[in-house]
Amino acid sequence: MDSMIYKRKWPLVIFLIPAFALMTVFIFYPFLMNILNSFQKVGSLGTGPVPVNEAGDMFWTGNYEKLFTDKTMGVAVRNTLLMMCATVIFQVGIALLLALLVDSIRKGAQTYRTIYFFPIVISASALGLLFNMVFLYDGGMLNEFLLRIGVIGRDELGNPQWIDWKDRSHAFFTMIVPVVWQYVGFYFVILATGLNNVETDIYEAAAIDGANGLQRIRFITLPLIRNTLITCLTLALIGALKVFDLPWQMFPKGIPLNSTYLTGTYMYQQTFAMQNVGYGATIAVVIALMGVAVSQLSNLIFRPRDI
Amino acid sequence: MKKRFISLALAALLCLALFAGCQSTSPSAGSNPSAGSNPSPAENPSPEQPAGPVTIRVRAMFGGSDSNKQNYDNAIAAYETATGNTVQNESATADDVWTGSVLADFEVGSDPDVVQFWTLTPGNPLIEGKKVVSVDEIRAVYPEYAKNISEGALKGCASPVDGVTYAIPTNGYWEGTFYNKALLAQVGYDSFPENWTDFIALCDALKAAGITPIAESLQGEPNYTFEFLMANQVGSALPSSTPKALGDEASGHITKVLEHFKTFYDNGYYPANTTTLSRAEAVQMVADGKAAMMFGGHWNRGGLDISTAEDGTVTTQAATDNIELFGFPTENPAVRSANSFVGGYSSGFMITRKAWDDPAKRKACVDFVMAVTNDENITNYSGASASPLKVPGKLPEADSTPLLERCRKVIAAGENIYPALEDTWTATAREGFLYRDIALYCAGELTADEVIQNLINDNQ
Repeated sequence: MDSMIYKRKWPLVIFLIPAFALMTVFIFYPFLMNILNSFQKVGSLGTGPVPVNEAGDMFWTGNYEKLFTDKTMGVAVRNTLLMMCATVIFQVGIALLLALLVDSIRKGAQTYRTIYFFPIVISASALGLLFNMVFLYDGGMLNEFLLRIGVIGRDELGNPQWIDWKDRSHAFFTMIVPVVWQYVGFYFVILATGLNNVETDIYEAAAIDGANGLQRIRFITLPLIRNTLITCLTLALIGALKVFDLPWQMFPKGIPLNSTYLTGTYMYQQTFAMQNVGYGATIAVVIALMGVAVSQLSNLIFRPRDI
Repeated sequence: MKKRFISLALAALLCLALFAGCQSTSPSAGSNPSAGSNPSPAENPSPEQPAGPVTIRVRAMFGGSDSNKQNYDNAIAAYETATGNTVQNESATADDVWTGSVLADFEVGSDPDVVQFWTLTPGNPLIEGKKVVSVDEIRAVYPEYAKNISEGALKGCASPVDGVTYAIPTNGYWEGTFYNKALLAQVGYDSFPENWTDFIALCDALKAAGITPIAESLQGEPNYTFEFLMANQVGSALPSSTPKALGDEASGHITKVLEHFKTFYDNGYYPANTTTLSRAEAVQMVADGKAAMMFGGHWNRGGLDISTAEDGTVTTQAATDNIELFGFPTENPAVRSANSFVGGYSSGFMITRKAWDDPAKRKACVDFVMAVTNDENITNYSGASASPLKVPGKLPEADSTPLLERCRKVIAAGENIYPALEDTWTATAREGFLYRDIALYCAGELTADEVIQNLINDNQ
């Protein structure tokens, strides 16, 4: 191969230009415009900003002031943080458990990998419809099952006393279950691949030294897949900030009573339904700041190290 | 050297590809030569014939789950066959998100050629921005344009901005009460009560019998209930009853309406899961005979009448034979009769200024609107709703159903029809008041004054 292309760097720069131009047009420019919009009063999409007062001022901090007094925004931030905790604990936790179990069996490991990975290939909209049927109030799969086994009773007129899985006391659980279920397989595959890279010799040596199963996991497996685990945790944390489609499909407009908004769904509601682009842009800035903070925090806590 | 040349060529190609999505504008299409001025019909050039088949881009409401999707698709197919033109059909269900996206198209210069859009407040930006062409201007060049539509219907579509008609209506709408006469009979009622006291007594009787009185999705579509409760307070002044300040007359009426909502909610007339119930589930409750009534529009008739499975199998809903239509019980017959409805014309097809000024597309767009609004198609769209035709066509027997015919008779015998108040509001006000604050008020999380103040703020 002609090595000239590596000796002279400028051809490489030319190849980088298209990607850089794309990012400038579709990421950097919109990002800067979004920050600008967050300080302006902008109505529907595509319309320009309007003066914020009779003096004709175009810039203000009204959107940010509203942010701190908007109870629904507080709910959205709280729910998003809870979603992050849930994804770390349940998505990565269950994925790790499944990966350890599958790694310990000799036959059928590939089958389990396919089964656990399968939810990833289903679109979030389809999953939303599916889980809407599972958690349906009147005659939903879960309620019917609970009625059959006697957990759900009947009133004096004989009507089943269904559980509303989307009411305030159940809504967060109902929202988290499909989100966790969808992505467990993704982290499972990453962790299973990491476990494959652990040499069996080490386990054999530990077994000779008298280590039991739990000790092997605690002192061999987990330290050796630490970097893989950290990658999963970081992806889960950042991914939780972007969760949108499934919750929106199941809990549109923050039902019930504004209690299920996430930062992403609230931004969408403000921007597209309420046609309040300026405030939507402000929420987007908060989401970006949360993303930066979370990634920095995860870098701090989960700093990768050589083994 | 050869590799370097290929590398540079590929890089240049990639850079050029970035601009592939940028719209090219032919000199004839031009930017908007008449922006800021609406040329008089006399100034219009004579129509030019396109050199060959053209593609026109249309954004309409007959898409998604709309009951007229198939009728509209058939109309497009017939137009394409007859003219050789192609329609880039970008139809979807009309909601606030769709409305915003259409307005955004116009704002960023990506105007469609033909648009089926709102004629009242949500459509004002199109008129104010002179983005669409008036019917009179088109008729000056194409005298046959919209000749099959009654002048009354055209006037009903006049823009509130300048009183000029831009849209060709395809079907009017009405809202009323769908009820299950068999469930009413179970609690001793052989007809729907006309006055408020009897209506409340009916709801209490249904509740006591273990039947859900009203299938309401409180955060889905409580707008129908709102319109009737408001019409009960103000009668024909309904479309001009938006509060301007706390304490004004309209605020008092809204407060009364909110109190009624809370009564329904607190007394258990709504399903136990009314704050999480979707509109589709609410309609299904009535279709299954699990709720005695619902307030809705003519578009809900299809959902109560028939059920179409994913494989296309059409079946009759369980309670169809027992479903009847009624206006809404009155609180004061002098203000509003129980046998009156909410409805009118609120949308229609419009040709955009950009397409009109493009000689290659002008005739194609006029032909398209005339094709999709001809007598046959409007008869099909209208179904159970009000037809804007001069001589209303008769729906093919195969498309009619007993419930549809019953609805048509009730509407024809209606005493009054009031335009909806929500159509005069901004999207922010509609979303905030109807789909958020009514539910929060019922749950005791907002006071009436807070709800009304939000409405006033959001409507500015």
